[in-house]
Amino acid sequence: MANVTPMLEIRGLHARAGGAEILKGLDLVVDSGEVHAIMGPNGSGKSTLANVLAGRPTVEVTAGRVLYQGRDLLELAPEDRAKEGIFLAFQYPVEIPGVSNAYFMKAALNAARVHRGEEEFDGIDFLAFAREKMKLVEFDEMLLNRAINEGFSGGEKKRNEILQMAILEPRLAVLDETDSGLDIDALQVVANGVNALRSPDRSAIVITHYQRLLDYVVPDFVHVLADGRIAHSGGRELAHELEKKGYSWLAVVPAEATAP
Amino acid sequence: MTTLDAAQAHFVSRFGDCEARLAGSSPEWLVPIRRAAIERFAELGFPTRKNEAWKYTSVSEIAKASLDPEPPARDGVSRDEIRALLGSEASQRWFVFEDGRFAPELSSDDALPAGVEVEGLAGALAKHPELIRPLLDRAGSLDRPFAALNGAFQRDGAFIRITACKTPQQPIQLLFVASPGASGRVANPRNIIRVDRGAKAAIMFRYESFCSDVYWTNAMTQILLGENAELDLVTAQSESETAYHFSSLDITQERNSRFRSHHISLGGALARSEIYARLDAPGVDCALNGLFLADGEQHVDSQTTVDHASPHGTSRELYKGILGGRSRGVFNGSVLVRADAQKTNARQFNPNLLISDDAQINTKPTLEIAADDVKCSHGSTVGRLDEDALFYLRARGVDERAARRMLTVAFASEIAKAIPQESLRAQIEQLVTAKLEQGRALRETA
Repeated sequence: MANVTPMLEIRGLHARAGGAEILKGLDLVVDSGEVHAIMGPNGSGKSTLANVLAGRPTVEVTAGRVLYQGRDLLELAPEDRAKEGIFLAFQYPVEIPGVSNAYFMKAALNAARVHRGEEEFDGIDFLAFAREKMKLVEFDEMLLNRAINEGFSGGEKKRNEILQMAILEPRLAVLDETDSGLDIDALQVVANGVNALRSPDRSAIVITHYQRLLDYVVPDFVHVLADGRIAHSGGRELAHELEKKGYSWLAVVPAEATAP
Repeated sequence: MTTLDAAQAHFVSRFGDCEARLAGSSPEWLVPIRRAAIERFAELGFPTRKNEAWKYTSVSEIAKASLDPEPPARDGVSRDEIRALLGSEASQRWFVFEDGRFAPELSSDDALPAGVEVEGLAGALAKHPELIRPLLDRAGSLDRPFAALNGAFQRDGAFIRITACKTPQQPIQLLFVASPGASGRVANPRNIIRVDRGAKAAIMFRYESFCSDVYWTNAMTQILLGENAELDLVTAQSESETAYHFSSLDITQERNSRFRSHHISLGGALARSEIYARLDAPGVDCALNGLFLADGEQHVDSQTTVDHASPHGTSRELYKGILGGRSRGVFNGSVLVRADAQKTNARQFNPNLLISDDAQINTKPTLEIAADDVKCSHGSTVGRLDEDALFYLRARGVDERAARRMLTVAFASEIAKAIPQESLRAQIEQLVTAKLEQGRALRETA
């Protein structure tokens, strides 16, 4: 029997970032097992939505509520959201010199394991676990011992995000334009990472500019975000339509915003 | 009479009291050297903040403390206490100095490899006057008041001579401890390191304390590197929170020699390190790495001078500061390139991380160039932890405090990583991490 409580329920969400109101009454419900794609022109609020879900302190929620598995998400610190199973694949992964990727991922995984009442992985357990996941996303083990994203190519950074997602096995994954700037091989790796996690008790929100990724990660729903609200929703075929026609035909888009 | 004048008079008068005892068993030639040093100190006195080199560091607390320049009788610290202090490092070879004096009974007695001599300076004076006398004689002309004070009251310290080690040896580790009896007193360890032509060595100086009262370690170290010699000197200062710690380090380098200093300052209420490196022969390489980490009410001051006086010299200086609580940091680094020092390559950088709202740093990197064919750069930065990096770590489930610690350790790690000897590097990493974990620095920001 399907879980009756939605994975994510957003009602009337208003949020400010960089001194401006970006989200202006957004509603969205994601049920368990579903993949939702969110498309929309630049500046429509896609990344702000992702940041609200992950808890970035510079984004201020001014109204509305967000329930995650029935609980108030906005009350939780970013690290607690992560431990509860929310994962944001960053649009711009941060370079952190001096902190090794392996050390960081082990700390992140163990934080979640301790939270779930499981035993911590030691170095050997972790490496064995990580190796399996690295195969899945074709990740070069050399990069595991380097500082986080330091000197990584754009593609390597995105693969690193997907590797972290594969290792943390989130309940709700939010991918913020993870496909931008990737060649077709890397795109398939990203898709494999997301598809490997698809299951009746996991969900994903895939934010993208392009329909291309959605050929590999087939969404259950496609939403168009425009001017801080969901302007249009449909099935997977909506992505193809948007690719062909752009956003202007939806008529909800302000004149100055245009599709890429 | 100001406090500073009174303190100056106090030390000059105490010199009169104890000169005869100081002379004791030391050679005749040391008497005029000590006397010249106290005269120099009497001229210089306790510096006021009008003195440019002391603009941001006040010594009035030390002046008020009216400390006794004679060390206590030696009976304070036991071998077990040393072992407990060193923990897992205790099984290695250590030369222990208590309140500035060599303590053979606390030191390991394993035989040293051929070509390596380590002993107390007091014992070495008679054996190597030709090596030691010119170095001790030099200090009377210094413009540093507390180096002069050390010269007047010196009675022991470390003497290290490396004659023939061409292959890397085990690091030579020295532990300087303040005993419980150090309370209210000054220790004036005087150390001499001589690495002969073509020889290589790695030396660690660790300063630790069993004294939770006010005391003052006023150390002076002189290093002479022979032609093509190589030395790594790791200094880890973990004095107690009530201590004053001053250290002066003078380096003279001969042709094609390579010197690397790794100076880690963690302890002390007031800690000041002065390094003067003179690159007086062609082809010399000098690296000064430093890390100062302060919290609470600590005040930590790093003064460095790299004096390029000969062509084809290379110097690289990287001093990193991490300041939390209400601590104060000072960095005053100057690089001089004299007219003869063509083809000099000098870099200097002092990045600082402030991890609390009330911490402060005064940084002044300076570059003075009189030669015209040189490559030089210098600079400093003051910043806070990167908020984007912090969020990235937290968004993966790492708690805020752990994330802050991770980023702070990462900022510091570059200095430890530059230490080539693995065992020394591991010790430094452990001391730095322990200070960050046990210290108040991060708690205050959380």
